[in-house]
Amino acid sequence: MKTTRKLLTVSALAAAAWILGPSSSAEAAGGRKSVLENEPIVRKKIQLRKYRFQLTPYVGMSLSQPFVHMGYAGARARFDFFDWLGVRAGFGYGVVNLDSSLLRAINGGGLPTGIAPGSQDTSVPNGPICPAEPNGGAPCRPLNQQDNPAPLLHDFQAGLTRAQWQASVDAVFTPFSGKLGLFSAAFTNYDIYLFGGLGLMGWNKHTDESSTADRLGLETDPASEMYCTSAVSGQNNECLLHPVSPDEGVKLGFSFGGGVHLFITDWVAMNLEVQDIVTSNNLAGLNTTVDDIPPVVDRGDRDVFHNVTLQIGAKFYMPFKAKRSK
Amino acid sequence: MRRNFTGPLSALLVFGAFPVTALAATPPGVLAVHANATDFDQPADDEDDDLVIIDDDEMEGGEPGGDDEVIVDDEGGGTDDLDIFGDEGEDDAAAEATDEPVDANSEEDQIKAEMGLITVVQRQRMLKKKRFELQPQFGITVNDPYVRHYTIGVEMDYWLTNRLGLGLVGTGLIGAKTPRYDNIRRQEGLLLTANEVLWQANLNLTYNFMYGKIAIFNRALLHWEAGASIGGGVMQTRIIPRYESIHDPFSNFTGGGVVGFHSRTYLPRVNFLAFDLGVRYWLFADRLEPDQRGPDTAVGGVDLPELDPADAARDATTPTLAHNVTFFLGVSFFFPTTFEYTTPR
Repeated sequence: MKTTRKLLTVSALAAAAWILGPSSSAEAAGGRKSVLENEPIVRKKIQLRKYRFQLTPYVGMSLSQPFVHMGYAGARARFDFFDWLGVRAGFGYGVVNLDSSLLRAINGGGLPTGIAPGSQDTSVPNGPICPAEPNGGAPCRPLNQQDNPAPLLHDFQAGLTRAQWQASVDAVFTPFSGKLGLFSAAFTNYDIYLFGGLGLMGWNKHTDESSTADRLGLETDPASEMYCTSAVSGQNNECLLHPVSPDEGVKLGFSFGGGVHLFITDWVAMNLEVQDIVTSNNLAGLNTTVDDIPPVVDRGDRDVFHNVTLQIGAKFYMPFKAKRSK
Repeated sequence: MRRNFTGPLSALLVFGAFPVTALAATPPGVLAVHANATDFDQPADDEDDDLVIIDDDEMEGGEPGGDDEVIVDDEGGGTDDLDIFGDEGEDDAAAEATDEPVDANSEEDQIKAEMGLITVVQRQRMLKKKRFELQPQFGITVNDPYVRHYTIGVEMDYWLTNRLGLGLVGTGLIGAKTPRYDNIRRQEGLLLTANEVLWQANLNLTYNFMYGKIAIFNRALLHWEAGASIGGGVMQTRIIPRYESIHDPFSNFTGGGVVGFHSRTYLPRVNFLAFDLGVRYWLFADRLEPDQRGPDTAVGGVDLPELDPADAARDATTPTLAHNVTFFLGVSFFFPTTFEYTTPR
């Protein structure tokens, strides 16, 4: 560990010396000092970022959500203290949500829907009637599905969440900038940047469905004597074996990513970015672990999740005119 | 072929055509020196028009004296942007630096001579025409949240021109189920139908349509280029049985199309090495495990016992479209390991 720390320290010092120190000399033949010695690589370089405020409206899409794909609209504000370092804050709200193929398969028969309250179980001859309790009751599992480890569809839907909004505050590092040519015909300034900071994700329930426990008003504290027990129908196995707790709310995590700017003018640039906000959450709000008896949904059921988004936007720089270096 | 541009368009092109160093800092005198150095006609009057001559061949590493000279008439002038050393009085003298004999004993003349060595448009860092490229690659697939592949491969290209190459790619993939796969099984009680890819091989055509330079903290310049490739090939996939303890997997030889985008960066002084970054997208026909291959094969069960053998299960499948997206890093080695510019500068 100490060796690693020393190596990191030395590396950081070397990088700082390279960045902050004079540029490499260009010694002329014969040992005479070159006119280019200690000069920057690019003189009178246009400083497209330094001391400029930047506003970027953008649209984005999620890349890694297994259940609900999200389309975001948002904006980022940024200010650069140097041509290579700045800070920014951004917010995106999900305006479009699309069920993934997996979720469509689940909703389309992948999970059992159960027997409606008040209806008879027809999966076996002379099957029982699913009780319609005073509050309306909840679907019951057919007898021929008792061995199915899957939750009923309404319980799954009751726990499912989606990434409704995201926000971050980041430090932005722009080590690469230059000019590129496209088909030897179109030329433009560009820069490539990396960023990292604090991310926030807002998770909302994807549907309005209620779990079996909520529908029947059952006690969900395992320490309670009435745990998952209805006064009308007795102990409810759906509540007992498939507890549901949607992991809603704001999740704090790490934000990082990178992007590129292609400048159209000195004050307008196209922006393409990939951002990952890493959070710990339970997308389905169901139990994952097998070591808790009876099953409960708790922090141990969360896992590290990468919320990756691809964003494209137009960036506007203020003041409109960029200064040049010496 | 000689292309002439005049008017505002030419100003725009000149603005855009310069690489960073030239754009930001090249004095008119230096422009003239470059024109002299390439033995082109000098503009008669610098006061009204800053005539810039860009030797496209030299820039692209082509043959000297070719047909791709571009004469750009910069009517915009803009000497503020082009004063590289901040002393415009020296511009004219510098412009003549290569025309007049230089007194080796005069420091002032030596400085002028060095200024004359600064070119407006630099040549491409690496010439690839008629060279072989061998590129080991390491990558990861990103499109399948349930099965992640780590890839090891090699790409061999022969560059027909400096921008157009014909290549052969071979990739081995190591697949593994992701935690998401297990979560679906534990939380939803569902067993996913998924395949892993074993290997891929394809022939492709690569065209580098973009090039540029990166100024790193304004301390160093690196040349890079980017392009796209298109091709087709074959691959082998293998199913991951839903009930692995009772069913054997079967594999599937198939084919498809592949497109890719890549970027590479060259080192300042090494003529045979480059570092690559890219993404490759395959669209192919795949065969998935039949839905009715399962353990419930007793009388009245929903599964079919005849699908238990792997060969029978494969025969019962129908092809479906599948995707594979791989991000990769690579290191390119060029052979022969050296090249020569055909133009003096």
